[in-house]
Order: sequence, then structure tokens, then C-alpha cells
Amino acid sequence: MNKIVEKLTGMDALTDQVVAMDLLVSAKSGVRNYAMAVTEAGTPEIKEILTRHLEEALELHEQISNYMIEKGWYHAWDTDEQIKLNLQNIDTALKLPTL
Amino acid sequence: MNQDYQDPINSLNVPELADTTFAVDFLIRSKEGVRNIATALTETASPDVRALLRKQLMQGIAMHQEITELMVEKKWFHPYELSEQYKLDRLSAKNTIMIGNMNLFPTETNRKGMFDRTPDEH
Amino acid sequence: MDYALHEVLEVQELAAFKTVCLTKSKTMKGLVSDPKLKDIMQRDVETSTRQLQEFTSILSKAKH
Repeated sequence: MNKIVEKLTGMDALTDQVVAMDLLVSAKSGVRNYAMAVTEAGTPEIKEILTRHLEEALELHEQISNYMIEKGWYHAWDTDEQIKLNLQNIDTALKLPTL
Repeated sequence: MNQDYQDPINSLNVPELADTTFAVDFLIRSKEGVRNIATALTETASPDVRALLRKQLMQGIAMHQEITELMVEKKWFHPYELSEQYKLDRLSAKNTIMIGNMNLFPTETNRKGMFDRTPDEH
Repeated sequence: MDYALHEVLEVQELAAFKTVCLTKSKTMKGLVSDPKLKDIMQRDVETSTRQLQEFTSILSKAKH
């Protein structure tokens, strides 16, 4: 998107990092939702489909978490670093003007 | 049900009752296992842990499938006929209430003669 | 093939969730700049589309 339009619409706050985090959270709840559903399914057809979807959801979660670790947006092994990052993100969100 | 627990009449149907109970317990545990592993997987970052959990998740799903099929086959579980399942649920509720009403310890069970003080009293 | 009621309800729940995910991935893909993130999102759009089509076929078979 055009930088000026982004600034005008406030869309510049929606950085790649925010989008990636959203995707990670969605992937996580996706895995959990599917795991719940798989154990409720009895019909083999549905169970097969759901198991496959669960595997795909896991793959997406793996891809996006690896991507975020690579980018330094997700410190799985360094709690202190992650807290620092989270505090920064909270601050950014709080200081965001309401449209 | 009579109160004489030595009476062999009371052990009628007990093996079946025990099997169904253990099967339901196993089904619930296998379900819980799958969900727990899936949740753990979404908290995992190391590739080797991920690979291990993934393998176990698939094994868990297969096990859940197996126990479900067994229970449907044995007619202990009716996922397709809700009215049948309802009857079964009523029956197990009845059995649970019956167990609850049993006077399992009719005589005094006070052990005060053996342990006459609490451990922190010297 | 007849499905159990609770399975159909479960699939509906997942379909609603996936619909939101697909909508988000489709729209937000246009807002990211990193090519690698774009690539992951594109693949997610493709997978989610196929998954939703599978849900549609289950749900239309479940409808009487």
C-alpha cells in the first residue's frame, strides 16, 4: 500500500509483525479447535478430513512460528527478551490513536 | 440390592459393568490426551520435540479411533442414535446412584485406637 | 452417508472459524510487505480454501 495512504488511514500500525502475530494466534487456536473436533468425530470420513486439517494447521503453526523466531519477533527461549518485546508492543497499541 | 456384599448374586453383570466403565474412562482419557498433545504442540518451538509430539498425536488419534470403534461395536456407545445413548446414560446414572446409596462401611471404621494423635503433636 | 448430529455441529463451528481465518488471510495479505510472510499467507489461503470446500461438501451432505 502507498505509504501516504497508509499514514492517512492509520493502516501503518498494521505492520508485518502484527499481521504475523495474528496469524500465529489464529494458527494456535486452529490447532486446538481441530484437536477438540477430531476427538468428537466418529464417522471415519469426517475423522480423516479433520485429522488432515489438523496436520495442515500444525504445519501453518510451524511455518509462522519459525518465521517469527527468524525475524526476532518471537523469543521462544528467552523470556526476558520476549517480555521486553511484549511491553513495547503493548505500548505501541496503547499509544495508537482511535480512528 | 441386598446389603450382603458376600452374596454371589451381587456379582451378576459386574464384569460387563466394569468393562463398560473402564472403556468410557479410556475413551475420555484418550480424548484428553489428544487435546493435551495438540495444545503442547502449539507451545513447542524445537523441531525434535515437535516431531516427537506429532508422532504421539497421530498415535493418540489412532488409539481414540480404535476405542471409539470398539465401543460402538459393543453397543456401549451410540453416537448416531441419541435416544439409545440417552437410555444408556440413564442406566449408568441409576447405577451410580445405587452405588452412592450402598452402605459400604456398616460398622465403626474409626482408627483412633491406632493413630491417636495428629503427626505434628509430639 | 449419515453423520452424527454432534459431528455436524462441530464441523459448523470449525467452518465458521476457518471462514474468519480465510477472510483475514485474504485481506491482510495485501497489507504486508515481507515476501516470505506473504508466501506463508498465500499458502494459508490455498489450504483454507480447500478445507472450506471440504466442509461445504460435508455440510451439504448433512442437510436433508
